[in-house]
Amino acid sequence: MKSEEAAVYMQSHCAGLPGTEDPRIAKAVRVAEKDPALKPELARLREQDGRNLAAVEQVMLPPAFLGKLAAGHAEAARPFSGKAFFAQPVVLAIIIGAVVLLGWGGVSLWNRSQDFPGKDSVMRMVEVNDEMTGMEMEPKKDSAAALDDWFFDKYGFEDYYLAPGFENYQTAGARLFKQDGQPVAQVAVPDHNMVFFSFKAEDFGLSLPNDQWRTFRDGDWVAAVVQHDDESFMVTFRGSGSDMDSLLQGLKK
Amino acid sequence: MDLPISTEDLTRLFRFALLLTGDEGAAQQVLYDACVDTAARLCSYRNEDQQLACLVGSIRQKARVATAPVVADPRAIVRGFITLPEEERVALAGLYTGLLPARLLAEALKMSLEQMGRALKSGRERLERAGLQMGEPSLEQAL
Repeated sequence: MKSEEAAVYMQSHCAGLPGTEDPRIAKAVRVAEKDPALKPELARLREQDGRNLAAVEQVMLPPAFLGKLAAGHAEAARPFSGKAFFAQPVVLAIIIGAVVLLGWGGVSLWNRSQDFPGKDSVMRMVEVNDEMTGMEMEPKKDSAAALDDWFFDKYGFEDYYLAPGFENYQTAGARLFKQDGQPVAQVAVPDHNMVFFSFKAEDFGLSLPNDQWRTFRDGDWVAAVVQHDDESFMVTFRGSGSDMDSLLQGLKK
Repeated sequence: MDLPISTEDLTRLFRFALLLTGDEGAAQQVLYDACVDTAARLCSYRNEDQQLACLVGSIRQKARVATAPVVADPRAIVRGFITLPEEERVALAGLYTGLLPARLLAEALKMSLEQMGRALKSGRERLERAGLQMGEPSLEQAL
């Protein structure tokens, strides 16, 4: 060990306190004891420490403090109240857990309230919109209601159904495709860039109270589906739930 | 409060708190608060040194925000310590109270052994000068 290092490490040496030294400090002291430049400094340090240590060791713990500490046991054991209670990690963890559970439960309940039999099937129809290139449909400019005969003549499809209020929308194209082997009529409408779907409810397990709309979101799309006896109609477009509500309310007027 | 700390170590911790705060009342409060705050944690430490290191760290933190003494302590050593910069004061107080081996003390104070060595050197020099200015060539004589 060099003298410079020894000069630093020996500062952590305190002669009056045995057993507090690191091997590096002990070595530094041995080096200093042999080093002519460090030896007087070490002696001064020891002398100063001796005086100061004696003064420090005169300080005693006030007897009342132990009593206060013992009394603190009762205080520490007292149940937490107010903010202190809620600041406890265990309590915080319970609160966070409860909030997450409630949130998850709330979302589950909301989802369940939005669910209906056959929803998965109609959602897959909505997803078909995203997979289309525009080439799949046959150009067909007519009123939506007029396509009833066209679907029957061209495909033999008898279950084309339009919810009241959608009959007069002008169409741009139409086609019949099969999902799970069951026919679905699909119609493109330039107004609002809407896409209509019409299908037989029982083919897709759809079961809704008659003439009651159910709205749901799927990605960018919003859809509203309605059943009338065994016929069903779904309208979809890119937008929000409130856009769909406005459209459906406009139909009632 | 069930603390796994002996009365002898509590006395050393009190000395440490007193040298940091410069006031007996503040030292008691700081030590009490540190004991209350760390009581639950102390039992989880494997050895006594770790328990003491935890208390040293807590006392240091609390002493930093403790109110400065209104009336100077009658003990010259306490008055001398209060003139030191915090890093030197805490290093020298830790050394003089003999709470921990030097290496562990440095760790508890978040210093390297070299940093602590420099702080101790400078602290000793400053303390000596403070003692001389007070007209007390030996601080122990002031007691």
